[in-house]
Amino acid sequence: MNLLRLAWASVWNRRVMALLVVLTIALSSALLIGVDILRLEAKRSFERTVSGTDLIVGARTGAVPLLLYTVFHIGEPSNNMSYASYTEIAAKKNVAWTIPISLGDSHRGYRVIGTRSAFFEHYKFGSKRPLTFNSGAPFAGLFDVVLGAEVAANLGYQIGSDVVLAHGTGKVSFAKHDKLPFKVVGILKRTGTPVDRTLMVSLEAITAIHIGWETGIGIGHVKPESLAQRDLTPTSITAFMLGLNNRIATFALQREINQFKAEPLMAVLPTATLQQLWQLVGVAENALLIVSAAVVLAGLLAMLIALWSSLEQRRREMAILRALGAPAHTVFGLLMLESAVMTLIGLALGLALLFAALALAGPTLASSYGLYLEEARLSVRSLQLLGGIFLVSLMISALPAFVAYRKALSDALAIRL
Amino acid sequence: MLLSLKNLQFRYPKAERPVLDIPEFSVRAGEKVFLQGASGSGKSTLLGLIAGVLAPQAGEIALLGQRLDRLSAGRRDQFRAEHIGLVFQLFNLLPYFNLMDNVLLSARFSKRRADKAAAEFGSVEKAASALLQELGLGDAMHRTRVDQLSVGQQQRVAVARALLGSPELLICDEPTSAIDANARENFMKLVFEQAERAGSAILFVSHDAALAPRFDRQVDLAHINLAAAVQS
Repeated sequence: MNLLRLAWASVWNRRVMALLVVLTIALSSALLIGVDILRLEAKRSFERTVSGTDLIVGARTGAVPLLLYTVFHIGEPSNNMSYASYTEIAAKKNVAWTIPISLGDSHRGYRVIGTRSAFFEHYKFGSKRPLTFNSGAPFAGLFDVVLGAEVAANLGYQIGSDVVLAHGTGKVSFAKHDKLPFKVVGILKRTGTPVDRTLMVSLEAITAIHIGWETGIGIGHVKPESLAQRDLTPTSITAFMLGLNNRIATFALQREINQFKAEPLMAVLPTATLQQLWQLVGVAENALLIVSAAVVLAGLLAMLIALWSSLEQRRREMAILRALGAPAHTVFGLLMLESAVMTLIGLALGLALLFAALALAGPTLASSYGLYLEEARLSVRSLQLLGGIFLVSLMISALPAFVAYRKALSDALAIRL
Repeated sequence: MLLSLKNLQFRYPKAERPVLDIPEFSVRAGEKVFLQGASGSGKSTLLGLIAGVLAPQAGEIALLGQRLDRLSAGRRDQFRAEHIGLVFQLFNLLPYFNLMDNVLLSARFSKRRADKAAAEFGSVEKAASALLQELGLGDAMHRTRVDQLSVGQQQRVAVARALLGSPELLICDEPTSAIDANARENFMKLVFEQAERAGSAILFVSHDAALAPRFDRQVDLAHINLAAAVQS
């Protein structure tokens, strides 16, 4: 007969209440740790979106919007830049490579980007990992399209499938470029970046499908055969990424582009802008963390309430133990032991719930939000949070335990009706 | 002398006057003393002092020659576990334990009493079982939860627990007030038998004067407590 067994028997006697407390702690701690893991993963997957690119260049706008629409395909570009400016900058001496990007079309809700095959060669993500093909190859013909992994998986496309692009970027579009269907020639491997949710065609293809669309609606009829004779060099693009031979030249080139004479352009450093953007997101992220910390506190308060309301019921138990010679601090210890055990079980259950939930929600998070949780695990910070919850729980339960201790001192032998 | 009090004074922290002012009171080893007193006369306080839960402001309390007033609270707790068995009016038992576990609790807090019980009966469990048996609670019941018992049965379990390991002093605080008259006779008989067997003295507090004659000595708290005289 030891103290632990006594504590257990006592808790078991109040099991419904204890179970509710454990569940409350489990759910609230799962929420807190879940938020923490999600924000770490979000940050990680955010930061790995683009790497190895020295500058992103587009029509003058804010640095963050430029990054958002070129890299994340969020929002609409306000202005295009001329193709002539692009070729001029691309020809400058320190520029090693460029990836032009032309936005504005979509396919069943997925963005289409018009680009060059340099995209498959120079676009890097994560720790400078290049894009690789799951099957097929980069586009070669005018009506070839390369699909991001998720596009192919979700829409069930394979090499050789026909794809009709839609004008605009809505999920449902009534203005389709249906006279000029594309053929899938390549499917990329999963990257965990917005590339997975993108269709890639050549810049020339973008020009071709827009012949006769200058007014915004398709009035002309272009026959595929007649395109061969036409010059499909675009007159404008949305933006471009560039890499330098020598990174020391970055700032000089950035200044040069920002003061570009022919038209107002701007160049941003992707890493710096990513950080700037994350700081924006960080506010919401911290708010979320604070809210979930408050939920945990509410959970612990539930335990406090449960302990407190059990005190009256347990005065009898305490008095019996005191009469048997248990020191008053044993009474204190029993209550602390009880809350410690309940908190520990709650935390363990919370973690089990959390990882079960992450495993269940993982595919949805990956496909709908581009959040890849394969590497999700307990960070040092999560462990610190868990430890913190445990400590706060001990501190909170010290209060009723101390009251019980005082009572045990004063009315040890006063067992009355 | 098993228990002796001298010039004992006790006052609750916020009270103006002492509740107890007892020049002299003692109990011999094995003696059965009936302590009578109206409610509010300080009976429970006196028991608290003897059991070492409370400490007097002045005076001496000696149990088995040990001055309780000179011990720390923790040592007094231990002393109580070793030498005193307590039985209250009601709620003596942990409702979620069975009979055996409740009785064995006293051995949990006192190694001395556990050893004593084991020496006499072979093991603590056997000692507990034998005591329960003697008190009219058969083997078949030993694993039942105590909240399934009648009040009379619960009080007998409490006596078994108080006497396990033969403490020198058995303190009973109105143990019969919740038991009906017929069961009371039998209960008193069993308590006396088992206390004699264990060699324990009994300090029995009650306001039921009908029980008094069977004791060696009857004491009215009002007679030994000067604080009471001042009050009235």
